[in-house]
Amino acid sequence: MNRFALPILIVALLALPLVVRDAYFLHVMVVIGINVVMAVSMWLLGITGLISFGQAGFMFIGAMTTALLTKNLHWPFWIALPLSAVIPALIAAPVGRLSLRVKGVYFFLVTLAFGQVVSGIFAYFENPFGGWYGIRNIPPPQPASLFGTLDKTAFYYLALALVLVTCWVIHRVSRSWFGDVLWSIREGDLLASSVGVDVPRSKLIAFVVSAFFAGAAGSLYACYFGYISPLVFTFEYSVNILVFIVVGGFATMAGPIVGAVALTIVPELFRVTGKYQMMAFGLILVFSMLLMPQGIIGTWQRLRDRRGSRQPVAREAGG
Amino acid sequence: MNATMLMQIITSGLVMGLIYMLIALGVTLLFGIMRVVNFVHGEMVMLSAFAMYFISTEAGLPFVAALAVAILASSLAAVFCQYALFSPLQYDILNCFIVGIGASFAIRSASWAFFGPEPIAIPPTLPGVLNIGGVFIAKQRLFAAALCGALAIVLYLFLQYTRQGKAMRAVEQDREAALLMGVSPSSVYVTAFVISAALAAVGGAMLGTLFGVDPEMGAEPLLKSFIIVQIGGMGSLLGTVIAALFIGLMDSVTGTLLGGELAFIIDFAILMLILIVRPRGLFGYDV
Repeated sequence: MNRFALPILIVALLALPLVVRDAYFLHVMVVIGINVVMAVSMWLLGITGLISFGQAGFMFIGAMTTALLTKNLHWPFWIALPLSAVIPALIAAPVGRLSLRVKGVYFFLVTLAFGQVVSGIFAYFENPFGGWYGIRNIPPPQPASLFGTLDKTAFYYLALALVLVTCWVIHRVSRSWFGDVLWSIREGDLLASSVGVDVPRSKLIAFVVSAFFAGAAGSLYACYFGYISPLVFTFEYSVNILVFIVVGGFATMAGPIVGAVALTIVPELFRVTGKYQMMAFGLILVFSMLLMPQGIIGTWQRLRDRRGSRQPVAREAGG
Repeated sequence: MNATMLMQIITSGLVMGLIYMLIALGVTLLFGIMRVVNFVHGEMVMLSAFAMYFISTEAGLPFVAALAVAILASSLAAVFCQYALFSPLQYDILNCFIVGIGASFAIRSASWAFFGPEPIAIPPTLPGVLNIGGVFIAKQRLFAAALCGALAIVLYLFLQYTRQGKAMRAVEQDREAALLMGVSPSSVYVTAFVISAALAAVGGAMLGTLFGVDPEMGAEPLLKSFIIVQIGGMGSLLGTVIAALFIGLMDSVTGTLLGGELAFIIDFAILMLILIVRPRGLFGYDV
């Protein structure tokens, strides 16, 4: 059954806009797509036990790249998108080189400060970056403008494509030889280096790859919403992504995906917005850490195990 | 004129540095003793500033009474956090950090709903400005700086000479050995949380009387104290004091020359520089 689940899911997602034409529904799906890409990209570094709280900063750099290239230089989106992924990755290399010198909670604090610095710089220099007001009227991708009014279906497919590419790449990476290296670092830096793992280099690669996909998500965000500002890509957003992963579960890539989907839909259903959403997310984070440390996926697997099927389920991948 | 201006910048930098120092000492104390980075610390700062406002300005009680209530409330909140959040997670450093962020967000947005987003000013208890050789300084600021400095000295004396302070240092150096010598770690933990919360409460009260009270006011001192603690070295009190004064001075200089927004970026650059040269901070343990 598992062998068919994934193709069926992908076909269903591809066919979805043919069945549901509700613009609001498609909007939510695009937001989910952006969140899934961010959650999965943060999870890749999370495998090693490190959380980068600067993830929203890299997303902001990607979004800013797209905004400046397409709006000010009138470059096509299809050139801006890969550049928006590459530039955060290039910035991530030196930043990671320095911040990965420290471990655990020190790394959290340094990346947290990095995220604040990114939005601080973009907020300070008003000339290219728009200051606190941000940049508005970022043009959508070109083929969309051929159809006159821009419909959400095009963006839905764009987001879906980005999600599928990101998940496929990160899934391959996490299940490859290199992924095993990352999992081994989770058990302890010293232990991993004792069996010949180049710990700093492996962490750095994971850090750069997650910045790459965060930049791509930022690019999608910029062209979809058409408006970016330092108030969007905050530390709070990085924490939201962490909540997706914690609620979903760390053990497999299905965790961040399930978490991002569930926690994007639920606030939309109850229409909680703004500060109340942050309150809800804070409480969800506290309670899922205390009551459900393995996340939704881990809890589900444990329940399934208890019901009898005794197959080994650790590190089973989904999505 | 120029020398006076320099003195002015240095004085106001030292005042800020002393307040940040008090807040950062709470962070570093908890880290040194139980390896917990308490993210709720910033909300303690904010809540005690609100307590100050409600008791001294709304209810009209004297300053000292308001400060005492703020310290008490903040300590109770800290002990509650300890039992409800950190103790169930066995003080695991990463999980405690994450849970602390969640709790901090919940508290902060709850206070948005409660107190409203507008900053509220607390009228100064010591109005007036002192003129020391051409350098102007508000009496309230001078009082805040003196209080913070005095409390840091009290903390040092407490850790150095009292029984409970010695027990805390013992736990910091070696938990198992301290346990064998008859020190109860759990009572030390409670003391550490109470002291750290009390320091945050005084820092928050001082920030509140100087700059006004609003629900977001805890975020910046918390971030600053993280940077300070990392520069000085996690768990090192001396390092924290030096780094806090240094950062206060730097902020004052860059803030005057380049604007406040850039001061934080400069702080971060300093932190990065320290990480290149000495990842554990100036006086820290091995990372």
